[in-house]
Amino acid sequence: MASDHILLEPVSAAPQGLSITRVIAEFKGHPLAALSALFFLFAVLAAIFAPLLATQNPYDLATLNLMDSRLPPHSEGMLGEVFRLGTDDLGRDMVSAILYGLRISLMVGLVSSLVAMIIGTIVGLVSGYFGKVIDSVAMRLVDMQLSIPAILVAIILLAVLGRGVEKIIIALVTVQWVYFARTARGSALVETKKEYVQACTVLGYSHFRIICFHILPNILPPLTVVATVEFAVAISLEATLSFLGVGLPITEPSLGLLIANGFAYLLNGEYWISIFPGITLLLLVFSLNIMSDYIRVAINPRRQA
Amino acid sequence: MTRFLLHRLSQSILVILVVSTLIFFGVFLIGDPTTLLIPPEANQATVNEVKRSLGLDLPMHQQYLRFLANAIQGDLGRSYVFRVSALVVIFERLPATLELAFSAMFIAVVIGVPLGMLAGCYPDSWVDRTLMIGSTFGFSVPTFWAGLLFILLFSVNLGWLPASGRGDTVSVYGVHLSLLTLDGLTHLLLPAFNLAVFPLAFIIRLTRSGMREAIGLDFVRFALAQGNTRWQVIRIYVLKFISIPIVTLVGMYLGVLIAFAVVTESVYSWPGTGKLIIDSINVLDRPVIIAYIMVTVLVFSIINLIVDILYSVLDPRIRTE
Repeated sequence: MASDHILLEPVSAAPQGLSITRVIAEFKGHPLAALSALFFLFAVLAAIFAPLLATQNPYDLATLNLMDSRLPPHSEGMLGEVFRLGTDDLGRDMVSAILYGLRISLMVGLVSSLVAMIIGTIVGLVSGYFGKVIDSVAMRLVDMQLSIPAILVAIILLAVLGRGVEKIIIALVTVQWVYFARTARGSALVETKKEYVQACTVLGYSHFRIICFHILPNILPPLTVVATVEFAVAISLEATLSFLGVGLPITEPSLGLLIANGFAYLLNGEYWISIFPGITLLLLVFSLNIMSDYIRVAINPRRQA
Repeated sequence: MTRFLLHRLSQSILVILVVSTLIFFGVFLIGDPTTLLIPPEANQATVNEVKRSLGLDLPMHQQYLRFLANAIQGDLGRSYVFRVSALVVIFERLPATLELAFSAMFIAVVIGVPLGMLAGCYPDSWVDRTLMIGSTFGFSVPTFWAGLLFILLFSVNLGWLPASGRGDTVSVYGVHLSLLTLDGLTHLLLPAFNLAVFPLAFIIRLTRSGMREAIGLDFVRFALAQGNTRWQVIRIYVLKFISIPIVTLVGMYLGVLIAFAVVTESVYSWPGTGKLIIDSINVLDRPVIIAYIMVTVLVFSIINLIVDILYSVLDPRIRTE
């Protein structure tokens, strides 16, 4: 299930900052983590170079041959080409469809979790640094939104907005900014009470300078963990919403839409149309979640003690 | 305690009020439902007549006030599709959704708590590692895709369980339940397991971390020193200690499961509120959309309140605060 409160325990702030070397060392020591990172890198590269890797452009209906529709994996098409993972109902090569679907899924996930991170971090920082009225209003808003499950908020929003790439990004950002805001606020609250912030204040630094150049770098480690988790959540939630028919339009076949498209044929035993995009989606989300687990361990300040 | 509950109650009422306002204006923006209800060849007089009968000719703020006044009296409008009260449409389907969500939670607790305890008892053993990776896997699998896999495996290939519908139901005080007939139970099994995957993964993790924390605490060491067996200590003391976070999680996730039933119900054609809301969004059945959201938020508030009460029963420290 794709969504709520993936972060069971609050992510603690690491006072010594995000050490890339420490994260890399952690990944090197654990085959599963290294494998996840490799797969993720591979998936990102495949998505970027999809137009070069795909044997056909799945959007270009002229290149498709309806005679090749719903062929099982490893079958040969009318023109003698081999479909490694079979074809869908339009005669689309599943390998090409998955590569392009990966592109859309990763793009939507990345953009929405990045925007959510920026908004959430700003709200959380300001809230935690200034406190008082701003803080209580912002956190009341966060609590109120968290009392309604993410998927419900997204479905309601999409019911109002309709289908489309920018609309699903708006829905995902609306759902996800609260998790960043909560983490940023908690860490900023801890940092603001520390001596270095007092020193900055005494030196007469502006609030803006203190927040951006002194507090922000110190709260990045926990935000990184939230970001990896929310990236996975965004990908999974987009797929779910698209599967339900309230997410992306049919012109943007993300992994979720590919799976939905194959659902009708699944009951006849034509498994490949749904299963292969599903495996790709699962591995993508799984590798991100495994990576976030290990990053969390790597930046845990208690571990150094 | 009473003050605490009153505080939470007022909070819930505020949430419901805010949600109802947002929903009303949100749905107002969706578009004009008359175009969907009337055949395109109808003349303007018919269009106006339908608009008047639905109250859509009034200005927005008047519609809002009317909506609020009616909502307080339990009237959320008539469904454009079913031609009956939207609340009746929701309440007819709510038992199916609740049955699904509660069954899934039951499965998650019954399997998750023992597995989590097992993992917590043997830290860093192969059992622990396998269960941790398994639980990460569990919350990585998108629910809808796990649902498809279950259908492919258990319905298409093995032919053991049906893939859609509720099967035979029994009426208990007017509420239809699948749980009590053999046919209904076989229909319930796959969707309930599908919905249980996610909370199961979390309950395993939560129970495990609770166990690991408890094992190091003084009361466990004393209990062991008293000559109790390991099993006795776990059953009498540790279980009580870890029950509080588990109850919180179960309470929190019941709401999430009711929301996520949308996905499972769509995959398994389970005739609950989740399938209804997706259908209603597609035909812009405004009153049903509003009624669904209001009822769901109300159910969440009730669950949260029950969890708060359960807390104070389990943890005496909260009662005195």
